[in-house]
Amino acid sequence: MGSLLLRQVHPSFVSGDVRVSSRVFDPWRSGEEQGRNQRVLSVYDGSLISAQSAFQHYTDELGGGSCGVLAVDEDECASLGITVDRDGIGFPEHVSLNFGGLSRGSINEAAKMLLAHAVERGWQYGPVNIGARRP
Amino acid sequence: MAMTTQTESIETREDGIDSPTSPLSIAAIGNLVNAGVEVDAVTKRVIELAMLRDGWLDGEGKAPDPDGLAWLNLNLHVRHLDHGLPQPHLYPSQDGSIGCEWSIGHYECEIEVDLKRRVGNWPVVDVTGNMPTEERELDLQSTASWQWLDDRIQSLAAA
Repeated sequence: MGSLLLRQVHPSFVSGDVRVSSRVFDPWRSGEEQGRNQRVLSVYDGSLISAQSAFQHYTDELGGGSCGVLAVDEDECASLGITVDRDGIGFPEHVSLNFGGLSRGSINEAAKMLLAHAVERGWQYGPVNIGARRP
Repeated sequence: MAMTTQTESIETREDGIDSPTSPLSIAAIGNLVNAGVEVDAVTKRVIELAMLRDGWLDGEGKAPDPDGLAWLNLNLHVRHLDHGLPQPHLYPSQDGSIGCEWSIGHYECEIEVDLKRRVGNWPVVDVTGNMPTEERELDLQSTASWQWLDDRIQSLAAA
């Protein structure tokens, strides 16, 4: 198992106080990137930053919406055809998960599989004030 | 105090497409909720989703169409929940569509609903990897499509 890859969970992707949508791990539907880069998902390298610090960096410094942090590992990504690129874009802990070689349907499937792994692993930080953090 | 926000009847339009009668608008449902009327979890979530504005996803994200949300709420009740089927969890997508998701054992099921075209993309994924992923496009103005959806969810629940 490789190091954990920390993913911020947007509060709109949590229903009630419990269930998380696979949109959290779906680059087509979580809107981080546009155009040619739409299939890239941003995460933090858990070997370089804690889940709590990643949350604080994302919400306080970058101004992003998050109610907590879930995680997958490199092997889980590799098994689904997702490339892990420690590119350090914007900040040293930044990692891109590249879904570039997958079809739209395969991306949807991969997102659901990643979510299942992440939910089994449990929240790495939070969830924090989900209702109050919804836009 | 309980209320019914939906109508039970289904009409057949001149073009042959079956459709439940007109839903209450999201604003009307919201007013009733503000007046203390109780609604179920699906309707509560629909009202939440109707409050999203363009840019809801960290500056990206299109707001869901309120009329489409009212239509979806009505159809989920009349054609799904009223048949005793499990409640879906509803989520927005960046393009303004709505995902209705069910976790049924190790099956992750979803209809991604295009509120304008009123069609849905149905993927179901077995997270154990024992069943190939299935996909299907559904015309959600058709009673037959909702019946197929209900039957499929029931069969997955029984598996």
